[in-house]
This record gives sequence, C-alpha cells and structure tokens, in this order.
Amino acid sequence: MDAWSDQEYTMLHTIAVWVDNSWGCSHWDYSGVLFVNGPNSGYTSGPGLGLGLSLPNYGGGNYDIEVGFQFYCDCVQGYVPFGDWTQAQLQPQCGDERGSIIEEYSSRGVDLQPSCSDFTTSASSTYFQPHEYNKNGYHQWYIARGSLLSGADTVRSNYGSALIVNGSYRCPDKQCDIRCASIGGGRHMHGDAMDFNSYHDTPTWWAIRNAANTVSGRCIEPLDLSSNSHVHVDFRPSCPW
Amino acid sequence: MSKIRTWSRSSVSFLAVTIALCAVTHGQGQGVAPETITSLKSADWIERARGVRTVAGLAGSGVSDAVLGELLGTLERELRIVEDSFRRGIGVSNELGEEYGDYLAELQSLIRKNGDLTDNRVLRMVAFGVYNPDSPFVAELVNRAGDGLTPLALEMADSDLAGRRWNGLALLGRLYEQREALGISAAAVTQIRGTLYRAAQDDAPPTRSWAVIAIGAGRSRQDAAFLRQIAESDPAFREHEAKGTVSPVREAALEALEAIDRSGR
Repeated sequence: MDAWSDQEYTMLHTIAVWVDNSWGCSHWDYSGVLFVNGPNSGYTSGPGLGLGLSLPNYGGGNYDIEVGFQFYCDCVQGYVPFGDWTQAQLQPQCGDERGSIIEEYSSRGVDLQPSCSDFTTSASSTYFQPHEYNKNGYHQWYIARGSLLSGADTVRSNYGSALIVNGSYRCPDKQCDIRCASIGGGRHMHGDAMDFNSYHDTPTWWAIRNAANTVSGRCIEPLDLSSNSHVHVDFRPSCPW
Repeated sequence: MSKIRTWSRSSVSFLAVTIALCAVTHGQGQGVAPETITSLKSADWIERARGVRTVAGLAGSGVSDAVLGELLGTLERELRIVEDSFRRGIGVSNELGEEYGDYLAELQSLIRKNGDLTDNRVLRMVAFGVYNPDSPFVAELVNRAGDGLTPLALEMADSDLAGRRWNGLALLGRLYEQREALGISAAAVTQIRGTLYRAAQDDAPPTRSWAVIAIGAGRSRQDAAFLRQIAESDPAFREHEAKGTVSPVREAALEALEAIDRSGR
C-alpha cells in the first residue's frame, strides 16, 4: 500500500485550500509543495531529495510552527515533528458537528478525508430510512453514497422481503469503539457499505447474497469472513473477492 | 518580518539518514528488511498486515523465494484463523474487523501474482484462500493451474467449511467446462461429474445450487436429464413479495439447461 503519499498530499492540499479559502486565516499563506522524496521512486513527485515547506507569515508576531506529519519509507515508519499545527487545525470548518467528524478521520488515520458536502442528515431511499443508514450513529450527520442508496434498494427489491440492517455508516469514533486496533480503512466509514442481518442461517445468507450479486458495482464479503451472521455489501472501486 | 521556524536541522538530518538507509536496504534483493520478516511473524495481525504492505510496496519487480516462503507461512496462519473463527460461528470480520479481510485480500493477491502455481504448496494456499465462488479468480486460477488443480478442487468440494466447499464446486465447474482444452482424462471427468452430482443432492440448498451451476458450466447433454430432474423436484423455496414462491435451485437448474441447449453440444 502506498501508505504515505496520499495522506500527506491530501493533508497539504487541505492546508493550501482551507487556509486560503475557508478558514480565512489571513496570517498564513502557503506556497510551494512539501516533498518527501527519496531514492525509492514511485511514492512522490517533486524535485530532488528533501523536504521543502514555505509558510510565510503576513500577520506579524512570532509564531512557533510545528507541523506534524507521518511518513513511510520502505523500511521505516516514522514521525517527524516539525510543527505545532494539529490535525484539528488542518480540517475544514463546516460550521457544525461535521467539523469534528472530519477531525475524527484525520486523528484516527482513516484513509478518507471527507468534505463537508459528503455528509447528510436525511439521505434515505425507497426501502431504507436515515436511521438505518446511520444505525446507532454517534452523530446526526452521516455519509451515504449514491451507490449505496441505489444498491441497497436493489438488494432489497431482489430479495423480495424485509431486510434488517445491522449497520451501515460508522464514524471513525464508532468504528474505533467497535475495534480500534484495525481502524484505517473500512467501507462503513466511507459510507458505501451495509450489513444485512442473515440470522446465522446459511440459506438466508445465501439468498441475500444472491439478491446482492446482481447489483452493479457490488462487493460482497465471502461467507468465510462474515460467517452467516450478516451479508456485508459495499461499493468500493475495486472488489478483491 | 516575523520569525518562522519550519524544521530543525536535526530533523532534516534524521530524515536524510533514514532515506539513505532505505536506499541501501532497497538495493538488497527485494529490499525486504529483517524487521519486515519479523512483522510477518508477529502475533498481532495488525503488525503482520504492516509487514505484508511493506512487501507489497516493494514487490514491483517480484518477490524472492525466501520472502514468498514467509508470505506463504503467513497466509497459512491467516487461513487457520479464518477457519477457526468460522467453525466457532463468529467469522473474522466480526472478531477482528472487516479490515482484516482487506489485509487478507492483499496478502492473497501478493502470492497469486508472485507464486509459482506448479508448486503444490503455493497452489494449495491459493486455491484454499478466501474468495467468492463466482469470482473472476476462479477462472483465472483454472486457466493458470490447469488440470493440476483437479485433486485440490475435489478435496475442497468435500470440505466441511461451506465457503471452501462452494469454491471447490466452482473450480470443478470451470475444470469441467475446460475439460477438452485442458486435456482432462475421461476418468477425471467422471470423478468431477460424480462429485458434482453428489453435491447437487446435498442437504444444503446453497451447495446444491453451486453444484447445479457447475454442472451447467460443462455444457454437456449428458447432464440434461439430471438437471431436468432437479428443475422439477428440488425442495428449496422461499416467498418473494413480487414473484410469489421462488425456487432458487430449480431456477439454477433451468438456467443450466438453457445454457446447454444454447451451446448445441
């Protein structure tokens, strides 16, 4: 996995965009690009070896900047502190609870950096209501991608009788409360996954699975992994199963 | 102009040294450091996943036999964990998190890409891995491994683990379909057909259904009478709000019969 470059690039991009446009934080301007580039090519782009970050301060006063970022190399994972900007300060501000949810994604190292517009309080579909897309949610805001909204309905329609949702969206804090050690990916945090209850019954699991199997773009977790407790369906870009 | 401190000289030095060390290590074989091998053997699956991702990040030009051996050992361990959790009725995605499956998929992919399928240990691990019976991987595996897969597929089709059994039936279906192209012996074809027929009469409807699909894949008129019998008598049914009573195994048998008719064989 190219674990380091995406996240770092996204974070820096966020600095550039949000500092300038949304935070209105006129003290800071961002110029240049942070390069983490070594002899093992393929991870980053940019000239030469080394780090470069320019943060001109137009606001006056003295500032101690410590920007922390993680980097991975082929043989080392390290944390290089050279700043004091916390992840929270790097997040877009949505003017409501979404800001803190977005902060969860950063602070828990999720491989997704959602924007304010990714969240909803009301997304639903023909067969499934907001409380099912955000089952036992920690926040009123949740992510429910269009592929999931239409896909879940097609599963339900193909199945031909009621389906109980075990879970769908999970914010990173909720995901962490379930199982924190492995947090990082997880389609439930991406808002494109749903678990349907199959009641520990293999024929039921199989019937739901067959109902999901005709849905375009679906990714169904094999029985070996989920057992017959639930059918996990998501709409990730590329299904490994 | 205010003072801006960006990073210390020592931080830059540290990074430079780190990157230089990486370069040195990367130049050795596939660049897999001893710490990565240690990670692959960790008791903690998160650490093992970290090791696999490190190897995957370096694997563009292939994986050495030694590293592949370590990866196979890791996969053997993961498959035991998956089986154990499944037998206890839990499932690793419930027990360890759905991210465990993502890690397992990455490990399997690494071995599939780099493993030699003429090596029976590799072939066994790859075939016994976790995937769906209708995954494109089934056809890919048969195409790559050929007839050598038949004994393993027959063994899988008798597994007490439902998922493995279904995958075994799917592999047999593909072998049956490719029997001429792969030059599978008449005796082996008879054995495959017998196994599929038995599975088509199993107590479990999903097993019957996968067996029927596999039989249909053979496109053989020899199987038409058997499939017709299933299409008329399989006892599995469920109620569908729009369609009324549906019989999934019978439907699978009808589809198989139509495919045989279309093939004209």
